[in-house]
Amino acid sequence: MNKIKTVVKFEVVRQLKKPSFWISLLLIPILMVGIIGLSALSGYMAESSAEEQLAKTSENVIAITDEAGVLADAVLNEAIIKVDSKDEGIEKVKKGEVGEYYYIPADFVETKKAEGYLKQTDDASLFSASSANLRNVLMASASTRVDAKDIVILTNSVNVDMTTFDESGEVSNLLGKAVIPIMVLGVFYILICVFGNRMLMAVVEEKENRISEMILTAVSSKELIIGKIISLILLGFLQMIVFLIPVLIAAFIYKDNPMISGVLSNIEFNPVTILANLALLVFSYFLFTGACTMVGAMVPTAREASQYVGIVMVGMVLPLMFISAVMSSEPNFMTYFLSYFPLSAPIAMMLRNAFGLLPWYEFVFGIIEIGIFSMLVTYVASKAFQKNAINFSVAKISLKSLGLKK
Amino acid sequence: MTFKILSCSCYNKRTMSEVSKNIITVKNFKIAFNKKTVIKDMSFEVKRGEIFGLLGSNGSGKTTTIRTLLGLYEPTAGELLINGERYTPEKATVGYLPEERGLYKKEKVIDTMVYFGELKGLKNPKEWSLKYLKRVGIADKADKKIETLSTGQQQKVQLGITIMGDPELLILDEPTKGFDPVNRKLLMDIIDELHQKGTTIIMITHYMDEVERLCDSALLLKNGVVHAYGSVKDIKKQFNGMSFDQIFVKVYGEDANE
Repeated sequence: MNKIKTVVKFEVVRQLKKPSFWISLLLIPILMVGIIGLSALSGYMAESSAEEQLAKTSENVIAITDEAGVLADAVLNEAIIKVDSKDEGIEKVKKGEVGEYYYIPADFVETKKAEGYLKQTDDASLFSASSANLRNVLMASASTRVDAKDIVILTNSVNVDMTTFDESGEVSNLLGKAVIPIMVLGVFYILICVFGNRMLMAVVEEKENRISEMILTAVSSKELIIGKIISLILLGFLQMIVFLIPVLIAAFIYKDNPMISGVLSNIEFNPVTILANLALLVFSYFLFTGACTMVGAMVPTAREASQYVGIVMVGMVLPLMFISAVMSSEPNFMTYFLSYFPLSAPIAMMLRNAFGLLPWYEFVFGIIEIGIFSMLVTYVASKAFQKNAINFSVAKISLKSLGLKK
Repeated sequence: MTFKILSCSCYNKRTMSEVSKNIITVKNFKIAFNKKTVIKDMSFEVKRGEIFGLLGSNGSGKTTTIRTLLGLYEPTAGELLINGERYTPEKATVGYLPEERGLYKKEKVIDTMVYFGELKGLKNPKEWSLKYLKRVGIADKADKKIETLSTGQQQKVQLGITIMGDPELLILDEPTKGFDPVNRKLLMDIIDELHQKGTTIIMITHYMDEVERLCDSALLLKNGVVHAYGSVKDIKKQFNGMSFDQIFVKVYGEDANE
């Protein structure tokens, strides 16, 4: 046990000391924070540029010809003036006497079409701001004739909180239920992308650097591989925690956003659901670790390992390639095959679970199946590692090379 | 022709009860890989405290024998015992310097040595490692990454890892390979020092002068069987007083000519 602890300590510490580890660990969260930050910044910039634009255009005079008679006189002032004809309005724009000119034809109410004229400027957003200006003028005009309550209705700014009931008559809360499974899926996907190669390196390193023989007289191959697997799991958990930080930051930044606050308030913190999803994530990660370890145990170098691990990766992401079959509300053979084939089961189960397509009994069965396979694969991987620890060529796959037969 | 000569020379400073025991007993050892038999039949003993030379041409099965002795391979038949039982790393009584040896290239010298020291159950591996590095003249490399060391310096680190924890049995597979004469002498001094302390040493080497100078007994392995085995003195007598260089050429020269 002490030796396993020593291996775990050594493997974890040496990974933590590598800049490449921190780059891969922080890359995705930094990217996420960056995207969130940029999106927040661009939102802020858009708001301020609209204000600036308004200030800028308000210095200019808007001329309007209203043949439809929709414009209330109350909105007319020094900045919004009426002109008698379209030709006159256009001429004023050309001469720079007004900033913008709008022609509202007689059939405007039927066609809802108006024409706008302005001089070309370097500011690309000016056109959209100008068309908005007409809408604002029309809105201001309409508001002089109708009640404030009608404005709310007419401006289509009504938010409706929808409640959906499931078959049993309970509130279904699909969105709230999907948040944790989607996070589990995201974390798992990132883990397999980030850790695949690192796992192989960890398993193959002793063979590649010819350390196996020296180390195996001090520690058994079983203790060595268990130590390595535990260290990879610990590092995986670290990745999960680091991944959650930007998610929490995003939730904090956008807590006032109606959509985000709607999602946050609807998240179901049901302990059973959380534990079941965590079990699915942990067993799936075990399965992936075991499969990578098995590949690493059978080959002599990391380069060869990365060639063979492609098979594991394809198996894992197979459900994404057949996503329509996996996400079918009426499960077919492919849905079940991908859900229960050990390698593809984790992502298939996570996808179906995230979108409410996985009945509870299938979910339970899936966790048990992935759990059993993860242990089986880890056991075989540890045996294969013991058998091939000093085999410096690619082992042929057989019960003997997997350490299952003497 | 196979000679079987019993060794009588042994040197040690351990207790008398231990002296009477063999540290290694190999009986009717046979091993085959994919139907190819590497060792057909091999039996020998190594007395506690002696330096034992395991000799043979390339591919004769010396390394395979050692790997099987250390439990890295399963024998097809026979018994290979250290202190009367199959070796497992839990016992941590063996220091092994394999022929195929490497280190964690990206790690610091001291970190690697401390790691191995902890695995071998050393109480203060850092202190031991620093003392050893000073002894072999590379104390200034302790905080350097292994990949920045020269081959000779790396070999010194490997030797340090092998002898740390004061192992009861030391197995050195071509220990002086790649060493310059100065470092070779340093290594020989260390081996001699350990021998004086009572450590049993098995040496696989192609330098026959080392065998004559250091070994108490030896075994010549040929075509998967023991060709000659006994004290160095007795083996020389069997070959009419030839030097080990001459014996080696006589025994394995035919193979090279084939």
